[in-house]
Amino acid sequence: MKTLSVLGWSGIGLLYVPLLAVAVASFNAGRHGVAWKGFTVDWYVKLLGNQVVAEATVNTLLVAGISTIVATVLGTLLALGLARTPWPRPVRGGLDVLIHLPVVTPDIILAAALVVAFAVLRLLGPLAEVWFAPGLLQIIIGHITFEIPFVALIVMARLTMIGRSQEEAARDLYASTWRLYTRVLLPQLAPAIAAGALLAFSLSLDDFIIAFFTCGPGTETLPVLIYGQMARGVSPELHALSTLIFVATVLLVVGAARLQGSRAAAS
Amino acid sequence: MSDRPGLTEPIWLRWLLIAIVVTFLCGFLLLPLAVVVYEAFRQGVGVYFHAITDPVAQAAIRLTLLAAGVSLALNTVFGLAAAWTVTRFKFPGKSLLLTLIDLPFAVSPVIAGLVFVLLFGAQGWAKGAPVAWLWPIALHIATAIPFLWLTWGILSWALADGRWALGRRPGLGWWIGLAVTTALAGLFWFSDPKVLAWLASGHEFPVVFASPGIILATAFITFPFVARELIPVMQSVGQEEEQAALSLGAGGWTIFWRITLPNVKWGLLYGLILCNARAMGEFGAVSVVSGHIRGQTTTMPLHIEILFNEYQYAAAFAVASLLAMLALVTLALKALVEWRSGHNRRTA
Repeated sequence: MKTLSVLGWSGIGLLYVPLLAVAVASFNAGRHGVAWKGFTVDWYVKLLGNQVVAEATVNTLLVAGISTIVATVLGTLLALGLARTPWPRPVRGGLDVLIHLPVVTPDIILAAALVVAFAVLRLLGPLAEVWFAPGLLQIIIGHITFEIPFVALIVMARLTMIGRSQEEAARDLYASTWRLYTRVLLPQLAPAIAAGALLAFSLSLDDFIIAFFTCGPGTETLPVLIYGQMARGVSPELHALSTLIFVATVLLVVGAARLQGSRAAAS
Repeated sequence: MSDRPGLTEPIWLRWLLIAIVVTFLCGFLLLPLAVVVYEAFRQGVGVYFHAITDPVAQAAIRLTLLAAGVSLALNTVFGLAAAWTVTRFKFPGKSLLLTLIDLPFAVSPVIAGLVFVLLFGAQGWAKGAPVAWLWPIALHIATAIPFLWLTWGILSWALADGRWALGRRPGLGWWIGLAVTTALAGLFWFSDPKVLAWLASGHEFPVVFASPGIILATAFITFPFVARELIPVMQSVGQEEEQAALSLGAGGWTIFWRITLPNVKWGLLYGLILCNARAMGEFGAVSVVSGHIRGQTTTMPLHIEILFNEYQYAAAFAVASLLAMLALVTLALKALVEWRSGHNRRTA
């Protein structure tokens, strides 16, 4: 079955060679076109001095960081509640649909609906008007919303895998709820929670459409910024920025794989 | 049994945990979805159907289905090939390959789109290159594949005793499926005015700001889904059956069609369902390569965005509800596959 193997490699080549092209273009001294005019790191230097890019980077990290923390906590709680409660069967089925729904719903629907929902919430009063004005908080709420199910699903899979016997043993030995959670359950769940958090983080970094719909002036994230600049045409700075983000995400993925150890844990 | 006091956490703690999260999910998930349905029908059923039957919307639906279909076909082949490579061979750089497979998950879709614009755009590298003529041929073949795949599967399922036909010896159902799908694919192609125009013109083939770019971008974004689902399944199935077949003199393709594929078919289907959900909803990458030519290069998500920005909320949410419906179908299919595969495992 060498054929399949060759096919696999060529497919991957087909997909990834273009990514390298962007990296090469970011070192090209020529401003226009793709003709090679010599090696330069000017574009990276210019990028580092760019105030707008710096702001967008801070925004992106802020959104990803906060939304990941909140979504990880809430997702873990949700997983515990779902997996460790003796739900009646039909309720269980309904909850299953509820938690899978955001995973298969196209982001654009969530984004458009969030915009309208925030508009409705703004009508509630002057305080709500300030709170729900387009901006970072909206992006963060939007990201938390779609990250929760991913975290919960990963943690739930792990909970099911662990089983209940150890919990029951701890209870037998008179462990309090607090001790049970901190000494038995959470240490065992830690890899799944970490995997869920990393997934949430990278989902937040990548998200374009929700940020695009809910951001206000001055609160663009990096993908929104790149998108806006592309409308004015591709530039070497853009290639440099893309390359940097690309390298960062590769490092993140490799780090996640290391952390996870076994790949089966995540799926 | 687990409800005995002292064996579980206190009841108030449990309900507090659940209440926090359910409130949040309802407020920021169900509320928005309710908004979608409400807004879609607010101006009456007439407006709803007008928005859906609008020619531009129809073109968007057609393009979305096309892009999702081609991505499914390409990723079935690449996913199987990649999973096979990773689980059946030992070679240096294997972990690198695993990382590469996951990469489209991590790369921002906007950057993925940018890559294709750089390569195939107005000043792109591949523009006018001697390989440019390869693209139309490759994409034409790729477009025919989902039709082949679907009809073949459905027909041979129906004709072969209601069993999934993959992995069985090609029988009558297989050949009928092949004939019908070829005819269908031909029909699909030659009913498309764009294809006819292309044949009549000087065979120009734009990639960016045209449907090929959208298809490529979608395929790239959805690449990991199938492989990721398949790799754990193929690892856990192991190689014993394949080696047994080999020792009995079976050839490579026979082993693949009659042992490997039937063993992983539910994993494959599951991956394809997830892949389809993402392909239909993809916005970022597609938006960058599309150029937003109404009725030509807009997919359903892009169409929704355009309507939304024009404050045509009723129309935007009408198309959005259609897309949401597709998501629900995906969910139902997923549940069906999970139920069927669980069922199979128990009876096997």
